[in-house]
Amino acid sequence: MVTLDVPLPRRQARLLRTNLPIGFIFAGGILILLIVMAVAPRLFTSVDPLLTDPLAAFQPPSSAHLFGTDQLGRDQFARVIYGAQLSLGMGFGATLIGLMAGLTLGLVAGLSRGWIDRTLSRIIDILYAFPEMLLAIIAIAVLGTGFSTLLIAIGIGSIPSYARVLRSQVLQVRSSGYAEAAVTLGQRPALIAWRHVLPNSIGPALVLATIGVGTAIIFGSALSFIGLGAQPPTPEWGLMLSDSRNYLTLAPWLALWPGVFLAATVISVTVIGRWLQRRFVSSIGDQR
Amino acid sequence: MTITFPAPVIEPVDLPHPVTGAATAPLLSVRDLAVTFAHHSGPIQAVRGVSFDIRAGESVAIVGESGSGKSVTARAILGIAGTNATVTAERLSWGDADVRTLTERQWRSIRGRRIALVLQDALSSLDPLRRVGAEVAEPLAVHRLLPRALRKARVRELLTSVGVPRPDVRARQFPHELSGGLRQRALIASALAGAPELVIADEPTTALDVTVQAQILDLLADLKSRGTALLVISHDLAVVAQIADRVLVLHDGVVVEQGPTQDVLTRPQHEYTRRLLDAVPGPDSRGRRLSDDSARPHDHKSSSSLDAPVVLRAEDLRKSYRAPGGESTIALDGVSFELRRSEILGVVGESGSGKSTAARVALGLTEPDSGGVEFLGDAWSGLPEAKRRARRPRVQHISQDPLGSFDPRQRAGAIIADALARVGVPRAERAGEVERLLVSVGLPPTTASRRPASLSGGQRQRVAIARALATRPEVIVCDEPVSALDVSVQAQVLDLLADLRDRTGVALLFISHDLGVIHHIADRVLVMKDGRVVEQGAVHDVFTTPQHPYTKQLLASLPSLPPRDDTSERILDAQD
Repeated sequence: MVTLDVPLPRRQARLLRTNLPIGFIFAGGILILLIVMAVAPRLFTSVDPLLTDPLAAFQPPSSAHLFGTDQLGRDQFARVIYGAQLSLGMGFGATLIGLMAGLTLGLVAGLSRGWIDRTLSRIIDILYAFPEMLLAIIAIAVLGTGFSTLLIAIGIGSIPSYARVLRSQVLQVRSSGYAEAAVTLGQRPALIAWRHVLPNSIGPALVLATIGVGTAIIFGSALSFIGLGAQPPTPEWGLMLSDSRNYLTLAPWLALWPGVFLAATVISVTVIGRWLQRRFVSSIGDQR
Repeated sequence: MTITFPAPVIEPVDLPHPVTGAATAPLLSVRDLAVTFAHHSGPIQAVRGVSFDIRAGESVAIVGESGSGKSVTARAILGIAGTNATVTAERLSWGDADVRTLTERQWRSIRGRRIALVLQDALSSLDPLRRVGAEVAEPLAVHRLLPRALRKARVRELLTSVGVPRPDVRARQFPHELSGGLRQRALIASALAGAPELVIADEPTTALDVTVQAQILDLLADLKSRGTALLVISHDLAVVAQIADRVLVLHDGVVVEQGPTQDVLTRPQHEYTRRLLDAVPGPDSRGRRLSDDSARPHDHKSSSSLDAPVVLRAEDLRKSYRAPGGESTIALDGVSFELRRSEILGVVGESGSGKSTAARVALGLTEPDSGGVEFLGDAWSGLPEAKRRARRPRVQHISQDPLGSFDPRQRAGAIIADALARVGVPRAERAGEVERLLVSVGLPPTTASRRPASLSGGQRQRVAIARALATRPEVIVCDEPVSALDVSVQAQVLDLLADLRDRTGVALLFISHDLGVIHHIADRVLVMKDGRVVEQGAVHDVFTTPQHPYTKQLLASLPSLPPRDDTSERILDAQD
């Protein structure tokens, strides 16, 4: 038999050859910019987003105030920049909470047979039956407002989808040849779950989570918009949209920029998530 | 030994037509066909220098292993080699027409009507959303051969002519509702609908059971006798021996030998053809190695194994599965067997015979409904998993799909090291032990750092064998371990398994649908049908003097190679 010992620089080649779609590159650029904004807002503006100046209220966009000022004379540009922090934090934080809870539920349900799986699956089904927004509002009603409550509230709604995806993957991996090979070796179930089942079934849930980040940002802003999320005077895009709606005829620029940034964030996160999904999830079966 | 290369091309002469007796011009004439694929690393030549003629009522076979270019040749002839393929030929003519100049539209009037293609996998070749009748009638509709009103009757005729029972019922069913053999017949019926002059069959029987294969081969022979020309693409020399008048042996895209089938198979001139023929397991290959020229026998004395202690004993195993419809299918119906130390027990049967269920029960992966398995005298089935776990490393498994049995995230070395860790080999010694195991299955130690997906089929199966050996098991259950491999790779893996048995005394429960493989390697054999063992005994006795009608039928269905005329020469070669 001829054995080929040619090194395979496939991974490098894949990285160097940029056959990435232009939309992905664009979305990636926007997301990186947003992350920089969230981490170091001072790079973009030296103005305090909370500083009020009643004399300068409702100023249209100018060189001094790029995006104009709001009803209290706060610099809208600074508020939009600082808003990235909260929106991204909310998006990633809530997704992380939902993902963790979902993965735990899904893994336990998928690994256990019988009544534990049935019970957990019914709980997941019941959670699924409620609209995510309703779940979030219930959570806030019970726990009160606040940033961490907000994260939990948004996260709860996404638990069932992650749990379901992971459970179905776990069931698939469990019946795979390599899980069976580990059983045939007499490996302990916990070791099989940790070394083989979890790493091979987590992929689709992670990809789903990138799309989930976009949804979580929208939800956070929506909750802020109806007054259940971030509280004034926090610079948060949803809250800013909510404030601006009373002055739409007077100062339309107030609604424009938070809306544009919110849309751009969600679209870029979703574009990246969709790309990851196409790239990895559809071919998970033959990625062996 | 000197090899003439390339093998002399047999220039076609006007042979008398086998049916009419008159000399006929070739239907299809191919001279110096070459196919090159454009690839980003440069052009890849898949096939070159292929020349042959086919006349009406003749059958030509192209034989080769995977990657030899045999399917590409068939596709090039049909003008469907693909957009990145460049097909060149000195001559490529269909009747009087030069097919190189045909437009796509002209091609369409030929394909399906005058040349028909039958593919291997009938399930994926048939549209799952269309009824069998519509599929069979398609050439009639596409080429407007028959008005709609008459098609139904014609479909019935076609299905009857290929031996499909109850054609009216079958025509209304969907492909997935038919068995593999019936699907293949439906596919052939569809190919015949346009009354083609040439049928190209690409591995027409590969996925089928032997008894079904025999029926399909009869069907193709019948077609030929009625004047249809056949071009058969196959990896199976015995099938080719059965059906082809002339054969081309393709290796790495080059025809190494061609000529009348009888001559090529009995007096092969080229070394590759000889090696290929030597690699075919069967009654004549028992006790010798398949993968090298030497007639060096295995050291095993199979007569002594009847006194050896029993390692695995199965008593009256029964198992049935409930189908979604509420009916239950019986997979095992009173199966008993004993596997002794250092023995290879073959289990042979067609699909659905229960042989894989027997393997799973022996592995302790499936619990029998009744009956039980004992391993070294202690209960093995009917136990909670925790009571079996400690002994699991001693009963190992080699599956048909080694790639599926490897964690896709692990490299070959880690896969084997996991098995070593399980039996308490200290971490520091594992790398050395992995290396030793890889070498013992004939792989270079560097394989440890390779991902299984980047290995060839034979290398993967060797890694799987190395893992199975890592725990020093008493029993290895081999479930169709060589079914997915090319015949020369299969030969190496069979030799390896036989060597390992001789070296380590491990007992193998060897499941296969291939009677040749079982005849070659096993000491004793169980013949299974519908969940029952219909016959068992020493391989030689069962295969030479079968008692049960089913065993007789299986053996009669098995296509065989003509006896070699060059064996004396080969033994002389080996002694040099």
